[in-house]
Amino acid sequence: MSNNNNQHESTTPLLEIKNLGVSFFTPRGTVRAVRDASLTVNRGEVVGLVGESGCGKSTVAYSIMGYLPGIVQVDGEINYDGNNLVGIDESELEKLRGNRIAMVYQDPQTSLNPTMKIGPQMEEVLKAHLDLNKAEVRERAVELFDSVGLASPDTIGERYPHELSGGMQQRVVIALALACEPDLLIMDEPTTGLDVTTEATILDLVVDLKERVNAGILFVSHNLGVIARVADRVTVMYASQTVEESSVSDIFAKPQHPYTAGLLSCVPRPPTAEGITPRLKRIPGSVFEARSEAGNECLFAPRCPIASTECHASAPQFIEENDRTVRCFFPEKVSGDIWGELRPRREQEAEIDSVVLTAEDLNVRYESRAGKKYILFGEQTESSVRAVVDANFEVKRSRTIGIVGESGSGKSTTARALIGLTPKSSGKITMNSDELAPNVGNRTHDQRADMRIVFQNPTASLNPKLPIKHAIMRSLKLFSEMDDGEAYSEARRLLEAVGLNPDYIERIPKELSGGEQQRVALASAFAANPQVILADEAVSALDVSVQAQVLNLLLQNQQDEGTTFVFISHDLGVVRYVSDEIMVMYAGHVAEQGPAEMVLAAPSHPYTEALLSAAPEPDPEASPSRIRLDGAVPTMREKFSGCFFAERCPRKIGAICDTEEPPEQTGESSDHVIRCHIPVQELSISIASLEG
Amino acid sequence: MTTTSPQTSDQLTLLNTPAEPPIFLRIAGALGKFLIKYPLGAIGLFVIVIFVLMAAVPALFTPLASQSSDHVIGVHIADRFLTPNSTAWFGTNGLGRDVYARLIYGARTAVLIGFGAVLLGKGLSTFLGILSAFMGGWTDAILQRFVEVFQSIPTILFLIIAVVSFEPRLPAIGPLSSSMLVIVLCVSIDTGFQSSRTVRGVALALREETYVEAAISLGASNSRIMYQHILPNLFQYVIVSASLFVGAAVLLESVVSFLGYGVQPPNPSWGRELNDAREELARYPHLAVFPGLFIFATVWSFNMFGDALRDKLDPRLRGSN
Repeated sequence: MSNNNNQHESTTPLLEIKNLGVSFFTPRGTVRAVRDASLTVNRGEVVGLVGESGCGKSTVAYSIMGYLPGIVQVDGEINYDGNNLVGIDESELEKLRGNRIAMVYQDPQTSLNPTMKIGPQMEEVLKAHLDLNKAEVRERAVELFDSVGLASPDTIGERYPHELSGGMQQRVVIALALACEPDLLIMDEPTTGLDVTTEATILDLVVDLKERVNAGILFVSHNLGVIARVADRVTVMYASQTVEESSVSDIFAKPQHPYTAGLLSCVPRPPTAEGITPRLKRIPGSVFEARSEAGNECLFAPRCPIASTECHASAPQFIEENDRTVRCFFPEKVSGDIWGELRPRREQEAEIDSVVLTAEDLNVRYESRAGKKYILFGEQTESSVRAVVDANFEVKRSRTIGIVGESGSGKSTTARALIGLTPKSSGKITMNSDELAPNVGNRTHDQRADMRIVFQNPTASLNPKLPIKHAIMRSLKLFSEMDDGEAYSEARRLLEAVGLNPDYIERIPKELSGGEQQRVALASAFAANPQVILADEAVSALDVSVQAQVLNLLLQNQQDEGTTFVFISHDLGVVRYVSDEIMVMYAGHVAEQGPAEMVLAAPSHPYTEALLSAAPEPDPEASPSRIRLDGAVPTMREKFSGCFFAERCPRKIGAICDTEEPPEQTGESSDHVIRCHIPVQELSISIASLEG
Repeated sequence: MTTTSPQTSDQLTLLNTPAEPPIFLRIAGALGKFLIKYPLGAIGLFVIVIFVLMAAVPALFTPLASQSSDHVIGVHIADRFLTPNSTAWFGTNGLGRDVYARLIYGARTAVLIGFGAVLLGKGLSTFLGILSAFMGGWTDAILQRFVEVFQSIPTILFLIIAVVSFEPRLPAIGPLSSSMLVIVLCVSIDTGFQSSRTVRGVALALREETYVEAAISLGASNSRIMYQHILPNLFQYVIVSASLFVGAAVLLESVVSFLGYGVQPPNPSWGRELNDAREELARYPHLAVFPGLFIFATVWSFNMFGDALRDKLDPRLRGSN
């Protein structure tokens, strides 16, 4: 990548947004998607724009590109290199888009044309904007692919998007955005759809680009951990306004807006020095609706713990003071404590009596016939897929086992096998010393009542045609043998218990937000008063503040009812927060399992180590360890030898990894199991420290 | 991250839910919204209502008291081939029958066949589709082979053969003459099998939904899942395809009657009128124009209404057919 010869080094910022307002006029009324947003991006810096869904951060990003659908009104200024982009001609904007200002979207799959090879797609962009001949275009394309860290850049152009993994696709998209050496790169949630290990490599790339390319990067994300890793400065949005802007270290160390402080205290943190996992705090109330007309008051005041009469009487401005800008009357009063004092995650440690759930040599195969594709002709098709291989674990009453791994690691299949939606192929599942049938249909009424599941997507897990009372009352009537009247009042009580208005009972799912829908799903899981609840990515689709509420609900239920949880998530931070035991899965195999604190500390399986170092911590001071995995989780076929992780292992020791199954080693205690060829003593030394 | 709006708290703000208005007001309100949002669909609905009224109470539209009135089925050689005038608004045909009155009475044939075929046909297709999706295995394989057989037989040919072979053996049921009965049954069976394949596809997709899995995990039986979870979510799809199909069924009846195999004289039918007009088309074009307009209006109005209904119920299907 060639250097821009600092020709634009001047005092005017590259991008300066001043008091931006965006209104959409829809048949249902005006939507104020952005009310008052101001931010700046300078060359060579990454500005993080963070906020929960619906706060207008994407609209800000899109309005810079002029991509606003429908009938829209834009106020304020978007100064790019000193020129206001608001209200300029479409043709003027066209010259900037893709050329001077480029955008990277969330889903790489929709940004690439699936019917075109990567090379021609890149060449198309280069030809459109640059005056190069054919050979030069080729050369430049290879150069670009190389610059985003794609392996074999000279041949990758011959491949179609679907032949690449998600991470590679996103690299291609970034290469496309960089094609014309833009001055401003806008990245809208570029890692949100990716696995945590892939996310880490893309974030490394962004940091690396910042150093190599003299461009400004506006990085939009809901994930505070991601922002902490890449951003130099951070702008926080709430209810379509920017509420705080500061350097990344200041934002995380001493937030000055109560909302920022609240958001930070909603994110699960590692245990403190005293070994206490602090309980998540919560932000009460609901986000100010984009449809509503704002009165002359602080939009955050209804939810703010330090709001005074002044906050309700006039609206604070976005004022700069001592290097940071904040929209609050009392920034000096803000600290982490305003959201409640630090409490341990559990009020009291429950007494552990009995083992509730056990899995012994649990195996799940997705059977498919091996043979020719068209019976007699065609390529040989593969035999069945092994989704879960020899999983062994037990969970005690009132405890939580966390299952963590990338997508395709078999963690959801494990949950489905436990509840009997995907029948196990072999092994034994025992609940309260009763062996469970592979299929949920063959289990007894009580067994079904004692194990409930909460799914990832709350919208999909409720029948859109039925009022929400149906889901809850059904469990009650089935398992608690109540009549309609009793079930109805009990359902109202349950809704209240999960923090919903009991009058919601007659609503259909469409009339609730995602967080509310997930609470209905929880309420219906709680309804049967089960002993075991499987939470399959149950908080993954929720915003951090809602996620904190749902996690607290789960913990509360565990404490009150002694429920056992199997908690599945790709988010290590969340798993760490809720779990007593952790099982790390990879390609259907259990890589490591044991008590949470032992799994998270050394010695650990190379995969656990990689996951840990990939997980973005909401702390800009955390030194990112540099263990990175390429590629994606492979699919386990029947005929397979060696270690399941050998293909991607950063610590592979040699031929033995490809030929022999890794042995089970025990760590500090006998219930800490690591499946690896490397001796435990050696695993205690982390790879990061090995490299110095 | 999905686009959930993060409202909520542990002790949620207690929103006031307004009292529900009475049911008729809600229906009227929904209808009013529909009219404003889909003007073409509303016109379609209006025309449909007129045709249904015509079929139910023809006396509202013509002074001739019944279908067996003299000017509907009688022969008046002296008055044949009259051009439209103040007594016979659409003129008279080759037998001196009042074309307007015959078209009004023909509406009953069209509406009965249209709605009858659609009710039976879509009912059958829903049943077969769900059966196929849920039973799987051999049931599915055999049903789908039947579907393929029906897809490969030209519908018109099938109808003509069926009318010729079964019409004499079937009784008339109420207002349905035996030939109408054959048409209704055959169109139902034909569309029932053919569109069961799409229903099967939709049902298969719905079966994978998380809320169905949630129900399975509660131990719900197959029949309960079909009735409680699949059917209500399938319903909008069936309603839309049914409303679009009424026009097609009316058209089919007209074609078969035009070819001379459908509704037998002297019973009025729009297709039959067209057939009668055929020989004198050059001299008396009005004989063909009016029945043609009626058929056109029916098919058009059902299509417009169906399109609007589809957009309303399932925006994902917009632009598809």
